[in-house]
Amino acid sequence: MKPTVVVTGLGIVSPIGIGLGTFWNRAVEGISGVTTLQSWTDPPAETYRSRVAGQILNFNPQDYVEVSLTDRVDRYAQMGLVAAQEALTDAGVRMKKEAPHRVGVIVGAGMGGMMMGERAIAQLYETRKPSRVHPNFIPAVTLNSASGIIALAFGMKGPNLTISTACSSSIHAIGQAFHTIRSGQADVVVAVGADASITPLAFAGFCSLRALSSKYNEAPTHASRPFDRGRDGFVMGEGAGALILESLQHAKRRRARMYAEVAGYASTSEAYHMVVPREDGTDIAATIRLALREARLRPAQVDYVNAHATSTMVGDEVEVRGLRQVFKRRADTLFINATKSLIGHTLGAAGAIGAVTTLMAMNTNLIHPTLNYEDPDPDCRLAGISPETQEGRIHVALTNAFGFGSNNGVLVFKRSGSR
Amino acid sequence: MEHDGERNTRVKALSPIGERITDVLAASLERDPSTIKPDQHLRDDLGLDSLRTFELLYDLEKAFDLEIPNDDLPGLQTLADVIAYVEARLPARAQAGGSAPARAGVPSSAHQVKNKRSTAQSKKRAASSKTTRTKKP
Repeated sequence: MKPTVVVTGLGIVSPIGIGLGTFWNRAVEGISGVTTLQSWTDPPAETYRSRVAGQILNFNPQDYVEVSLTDRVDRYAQMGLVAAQEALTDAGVRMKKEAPHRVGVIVGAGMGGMMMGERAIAQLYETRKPSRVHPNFIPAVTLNSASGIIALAFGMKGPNLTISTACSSSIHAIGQAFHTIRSGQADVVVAVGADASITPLAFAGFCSLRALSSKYNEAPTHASRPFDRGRDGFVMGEGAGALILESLQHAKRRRARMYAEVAGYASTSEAYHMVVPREDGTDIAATIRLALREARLRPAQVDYVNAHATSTMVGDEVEVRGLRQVFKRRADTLFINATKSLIGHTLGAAGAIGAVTTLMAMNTNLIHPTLNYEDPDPDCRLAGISPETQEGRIHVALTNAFGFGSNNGVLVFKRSGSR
Repeated sequence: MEHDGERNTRVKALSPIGERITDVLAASLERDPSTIKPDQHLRDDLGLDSLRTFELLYDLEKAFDLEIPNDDLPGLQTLADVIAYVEARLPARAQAGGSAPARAGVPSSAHQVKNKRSTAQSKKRAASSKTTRTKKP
């Protein structure tokens, strides 16, 4: 019998709040974290096509974790570390009481240490002095810097991995954490998603891809509008989400509070296009079906979907098409929301933040609003999407995340103890 | 050049800017410019998906020192649409003889265009040999 896996702790660093309580209060109140681009001054914001972002202003990691751990890692890893710290406290996991090799860390990061990377490159070409490249540059930009720093901050010696699949990275971090516990390799895994690439070069790259919203530069809170007819691209966000996954047996032994059971997970490639999803939605539908199969649940048992819904023209439409294929008539009875309407698209962190949101919805019976859903696009209209907060009891929920590189991931959560 | 004959016919039909845009597109598609006609639809006839379209716009923005806002994209369906759009956006003097745009980093002499084409051809060769390699187990 494979162990049942449950979630016992959550942590979040987001543009609408650092810490679960603040985040959730603001989410259900429908407060937007999207503001005018102000993360750097040169090149001037006016030179960018998109000038809005879900930025975390005044982020001071030392307010939450030891200074010595944070001053040599990139912003994305600092955010991951702060979220992991909160999730561990929330779960009540104390490493003194754990066998270190039975506790793992799996991080999903799409972009990684962009801020430090970009600064170092600019400095190299300005000074033309290779010796001015800081010795800490390599350890900071290596993509596993966050999973490394989290492990050493808390003394976790179990499996330590970083998964990078663009915007689906942390769905897979959680999914692989789930399988790591199921296969008996660990009792506890800290699954984290983190990205902080609102940086001059990365932001310019997404502008050139014409992936970012540019119509609402003067009205930032209106820019992220998933499923709405007026959407014109995603809003870049930054942040981190963390979940403590552990075996049911381990959680029971510690008498831990359980948010939900991780019931199923699927990971697929569309093998189709580097940035465009397969238009008919069949690959998204297939991924959802695979995740439900692992969970031994039927589409008819699902109550809520935390959609990937980035607010791009094609992406939102294709996701709804996929949902309709799987859920048929039930598609219109599901609760659906788009967390990116509140905070923008946090790239590699999106899956973990979506999962935190899903678990909070299951535990508070509140489904946060999808902001700016004012003029429903007929091509992606579903009855369960609302610009208002909805109330409802959720037994089974899905969290979706899809990434560049033709990558899809879906997680299934089930209320603990429900069969 | 083997295509000189065809090319001369095309030059008569297209303005210097139209010719240059066709060359930019041809290089991106790794095709001979003479095989591309202005009335061709970028997606349906030339097979440009969204990413390839954005790459073309990037090339044009760079070549003509333009900023093409997202709002203008729906109007750019065929190559002729793109040519008309760029011509309308450029100051009149840039359109005169094809020499002024050099200021904006536009390749203006015939040999530059030729070089571009040969780069495209060598890229094509590289691409096809890569395909052959990857087919091996």
